[in-house]
Amino acid sequence: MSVFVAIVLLLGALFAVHLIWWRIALPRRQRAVLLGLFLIGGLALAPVVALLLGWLGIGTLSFVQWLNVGLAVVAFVLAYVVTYSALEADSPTLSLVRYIASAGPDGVREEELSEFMASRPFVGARLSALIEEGMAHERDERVHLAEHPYTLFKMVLLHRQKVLGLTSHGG
Amino acid sequence: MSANTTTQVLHLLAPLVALAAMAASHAVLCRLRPDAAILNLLVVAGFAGLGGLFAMELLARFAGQPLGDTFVTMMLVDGPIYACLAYGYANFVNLGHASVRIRIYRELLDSPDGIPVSELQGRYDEAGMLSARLRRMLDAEDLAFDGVAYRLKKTRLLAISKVVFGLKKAVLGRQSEFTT
Repeated sequence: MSVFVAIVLLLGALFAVHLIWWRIALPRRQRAVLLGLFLIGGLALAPVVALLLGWLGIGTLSFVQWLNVGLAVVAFVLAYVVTYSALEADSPTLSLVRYIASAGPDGVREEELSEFMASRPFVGARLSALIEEGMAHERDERVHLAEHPYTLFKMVLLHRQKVLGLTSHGG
Repeated sequence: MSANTTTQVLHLLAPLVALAAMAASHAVLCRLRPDAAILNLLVVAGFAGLGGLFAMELLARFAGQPLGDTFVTMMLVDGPIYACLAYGYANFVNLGHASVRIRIYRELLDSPDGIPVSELQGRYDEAGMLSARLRRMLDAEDLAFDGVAYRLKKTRLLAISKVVFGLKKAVLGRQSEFTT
């Protein structure tokens, strides 16, 4: 129970800071800042949470229990950062689902779906995002990969090909 | 090591063991059923991970922890941590499957001289994206098509979209990058 209270206090405080910060001004590299905020901020706030636990009469946590709290913060922040990608950029699949659901039992014809997709330039927005985040750059009207390619993308592709054995393209 | 420390270590490891069970079973399932819908395989793998979590909770119980404490820790700590890890893994897998950014990245990786902007936009035109997504959702039976119109068949993606668009509103103050 004490581990649960520590996790709730820590994540609650970190999430409150995140919401207030984001409502005041959006950082340029949002996901990197989010990771930093939760991981470094979590370490910084841990002593305060330890004091609060004592003040609430819950007692002190052992080293293993603090590791458990750390794992919870890391698990939450990874899940949240992954979700955050869908927050900052619209998912074409979820946008389509929402549009089709809004039509109710009559459904949506293919022409209407094409119009809907045309009104949302997903590809241009993703390309701009890649360039803005420094993963690619545009030179002489050509797009080039940055000199230091994004490690996460490399991991995703390696896992897909080597671990899952999937070679066909998604998208 | 005291019995108390042993149960703490088991609870610390429980979500990690569960995630490992999920990832391993998913890899095996992908190789056994390469044509199956990726979401269905992830759901089955998620249950395999849940089996790993229960096994670790049983070990904690056998290490001397009272049943009530094991149950409360599983429901409040280990279960949610596993849910977050499983969710992260599922999205990590789905990123390689459906993300436009990953696909563009892969194209650029294969083209050391870069790719003209117009060509890139041509390769990923909205019509192609639409047909790929419709095909995937029809295969997974999330949508139904009667020859005239597309209708929602399963509500799971709609539930996810409600959470995502609700979060967008709460965090960013807007529901779409294409609207203000």
